[in-house]
Amino acid sequence: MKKPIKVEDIVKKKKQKTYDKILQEDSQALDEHELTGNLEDNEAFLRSVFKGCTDVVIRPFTVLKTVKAIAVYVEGLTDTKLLDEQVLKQLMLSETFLGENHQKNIVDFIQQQIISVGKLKTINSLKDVVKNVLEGSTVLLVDGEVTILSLGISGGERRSISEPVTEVVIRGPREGFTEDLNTNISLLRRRLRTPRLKMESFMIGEISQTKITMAYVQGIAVDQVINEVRSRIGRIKIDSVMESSYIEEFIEDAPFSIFPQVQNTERPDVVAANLLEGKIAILCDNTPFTLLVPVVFWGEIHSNEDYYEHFTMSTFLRIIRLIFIFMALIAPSVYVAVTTFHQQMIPSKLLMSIIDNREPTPFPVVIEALIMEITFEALREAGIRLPKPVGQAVSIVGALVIGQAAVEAGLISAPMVIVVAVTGIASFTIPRYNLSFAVRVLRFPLIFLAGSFGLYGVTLGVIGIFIHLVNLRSFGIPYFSPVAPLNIRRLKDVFVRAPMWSMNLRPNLTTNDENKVRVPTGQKPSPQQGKKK
Amino acid sequence: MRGICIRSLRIVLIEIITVMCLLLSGCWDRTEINDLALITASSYDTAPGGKLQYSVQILVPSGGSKGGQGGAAAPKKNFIVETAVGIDPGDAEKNVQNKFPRRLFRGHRRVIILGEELAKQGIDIMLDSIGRDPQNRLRTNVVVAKGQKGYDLLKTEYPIERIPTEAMREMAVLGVGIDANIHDMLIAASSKGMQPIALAIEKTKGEEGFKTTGLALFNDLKLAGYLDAEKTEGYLWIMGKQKNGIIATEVPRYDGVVRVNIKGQDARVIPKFKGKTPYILVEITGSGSIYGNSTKLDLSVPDNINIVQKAIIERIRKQVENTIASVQKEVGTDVFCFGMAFHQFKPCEWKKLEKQWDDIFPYLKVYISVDFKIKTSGMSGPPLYLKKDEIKK
Repeated sequence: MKKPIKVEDIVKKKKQKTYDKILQEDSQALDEHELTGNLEDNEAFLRSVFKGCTDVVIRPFTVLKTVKAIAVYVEGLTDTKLLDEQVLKQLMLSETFLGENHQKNIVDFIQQQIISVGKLKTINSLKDVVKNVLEGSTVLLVDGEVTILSLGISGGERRSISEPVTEVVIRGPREGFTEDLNTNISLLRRRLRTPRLKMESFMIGEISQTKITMAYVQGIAVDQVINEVRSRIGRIKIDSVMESSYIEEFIEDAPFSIFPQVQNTERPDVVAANLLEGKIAILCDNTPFTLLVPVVFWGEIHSNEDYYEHFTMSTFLRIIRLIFIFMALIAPSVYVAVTTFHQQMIPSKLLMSIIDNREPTPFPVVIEALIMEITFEALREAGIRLPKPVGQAVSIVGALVIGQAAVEAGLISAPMVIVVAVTGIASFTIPRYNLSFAVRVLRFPLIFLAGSFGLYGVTLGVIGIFIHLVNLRSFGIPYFSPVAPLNIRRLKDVFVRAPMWSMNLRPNLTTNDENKVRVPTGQKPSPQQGKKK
Repeated sequence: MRGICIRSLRIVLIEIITVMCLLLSGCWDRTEINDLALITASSYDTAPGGKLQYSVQILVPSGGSKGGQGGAAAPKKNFIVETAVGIDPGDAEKNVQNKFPRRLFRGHRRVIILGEELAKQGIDIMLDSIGRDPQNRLRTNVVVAKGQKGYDLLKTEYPIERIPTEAMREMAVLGVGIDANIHDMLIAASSKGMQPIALAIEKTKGEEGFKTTGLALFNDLKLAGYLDAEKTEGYLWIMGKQKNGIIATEVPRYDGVVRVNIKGQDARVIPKFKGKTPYILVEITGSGSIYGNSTKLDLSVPDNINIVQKAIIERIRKQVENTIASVQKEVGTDVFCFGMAFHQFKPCEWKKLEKQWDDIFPYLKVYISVDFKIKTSGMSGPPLYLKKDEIKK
């Protein structure tokens, strides 16, 4: 006597979990309420919607001394000075006679002759009214009209443009993104004055209604990647977006990988340069951090200043950086492995001094390394989270306690302190915080491996990390390209930084095949250059 | 949905097993550095009853060197020496280990000292145990304690270096000019027409420390004799290893001494036959510059340089001839690899010579040609203290 299973039941089960009830209720209420010409009706409805929102102002007044109207705006999101001077004053005090068109096209008349606001649009549903008001527009409802004016006179307090704290340069522009999306877009547009710089907007966050803008240079970015990014962003369903990392975690290729597959930056020059390499920027409102996709590993270890300094210096620094990134990853584990398993690998005299220093210490080297590394990470975390002046005190105490007292007391050996310090400095050479985090975390499993298997374990661990890295893809682009898969001609901007006049082509995999030339050849400065015609 | 569950369960299971493998296996050959007894040198001697006496010199950790504190405290010993007897090297070492709370670690042994008595009896058993054990370094220097037991030499302190064997090593390279080690010894012992050598070091009574006294020569892995410092130099000339050093010689008829720093040197050993008798031609070439001149010659004049050059060539020839003569007569072991030269360049004839080589070598005729060039005469021609009319142009 089994009940036959209905198709609907299965569908119901597979259906995604929907949002909270309030969202449904809200949108239902807004959809149901029809917009009428009756101002009192509309006002009553809006007052009910914004009940308890003390920052929403509903201001009734009389237009052209005859018609009743209300202005709705959010205090603090609107430029009230502009509203008073250019809108309310004009509407209320205007002596202009309406003439024959009275009653018929009053809204048309207002927008064409009275209000001198550039960004103006008409809307005709109460749902849009609520949306526009919350976005910072001022909405004008006129009695007897179903056309509603939305004035883009948003304003209010915003942080001004300042130098980004996370990406400091010695030479290079000092502008950084702010929390305001429009400002950020303008910073970008200033750097790429071409109609080919396209923007697409998304609204993500069912409650927060956050604006997300995807920017790319048409013709340089690959169409498939653009479509992929668009669809991945479009799929996101979340109640709010507080930071661009919310987006990042939804669009990663390998969500569990510790390595960053999306680059974030606060610098408009970095974004602009990357757009010209065919990448796609995702700007997010309310955060200065912009996302860049697709990325490769090598982009993560390059600093934007590499391109602003002379190429010899950049090349030298890149090599130093590579060496130290590797050191940051394996220095403590190699020390552990060598001192517990392969003592014959240490030069005799060095071994003698290590032995002298380790003699009084009570812990095995592995434990010592773990204690020190964890303490170091804790100190770093403490230093970051605390207020600045206190943070400095913490680091001084940490340096004294760990560096001197522990060694003096014979709890920790001096070579271990040196190794940890070198590792710490090495991890500071990584220009991107998220990659440095990956390296910092991966140190610990490597120390475990070193403690149990020696160099054999370290080698296995490093091989494992590399296997993972070459397997990663960011929006279809192999993470280790152009090294694996190897493309020798594109190595000009990986381990070294070639001179500007010799970097003729854009990166291979991220750019459109037809538009690859960045610098036409034959521009190397030489005495012959001027003579050629 | 279920498929995903099973898959993730499987992944988690694999991860747990991997972590268990990591934490539960492993570590079995882990040794903390503080549990090691670092052998810096060891010695082999004969013991009564045909046994072997094995001694080790072990580094004593200073326990965190904190400068400036140990003013009044008695100076701590840097090393200790422990000894034991066994029927073979491994057995003896086991007996030494019994006296130690820490694991003996041979990975940093730099010097092996052979007592003279043992060296005379033969070192074959010891060589095998050294070559077989992976902890040993093949570049460990081999030293023969001249006229005494290796154990006595091992106990000797040397004032400058923390570890006396460090001094031995440096002395071998700087003083003798030959880095005689296990590797070369094994090669020489296993090759035809070659005999191994070792450094000879002795501790003289009344003097602090020890000193090098040239080379110890082996014949079929038994100590056959020594070369003193003078003859060791002759040996270096033949082997082409006198790359840097000093030769001083009197210049006949000019009443004074000229000192030359050697800048480069090479030698070729050419095997030849006169009828059926083999003989050897040694071609020695070298160059150097003058660093001292007590004659009245003006050495900026090429003719005078030629005079000095001749004197030096004569000096080298005599030294080399002496060396060869004394090795042939007193030791009778082919440390110069003359047999090797025949083996390499005259393989057919060598087959006939091979079996009687030990008899042929002491009577082998050796012709020597020396070509030494003086490249520069230093900053001045004649000695600076001479008056103008005293100088011989």
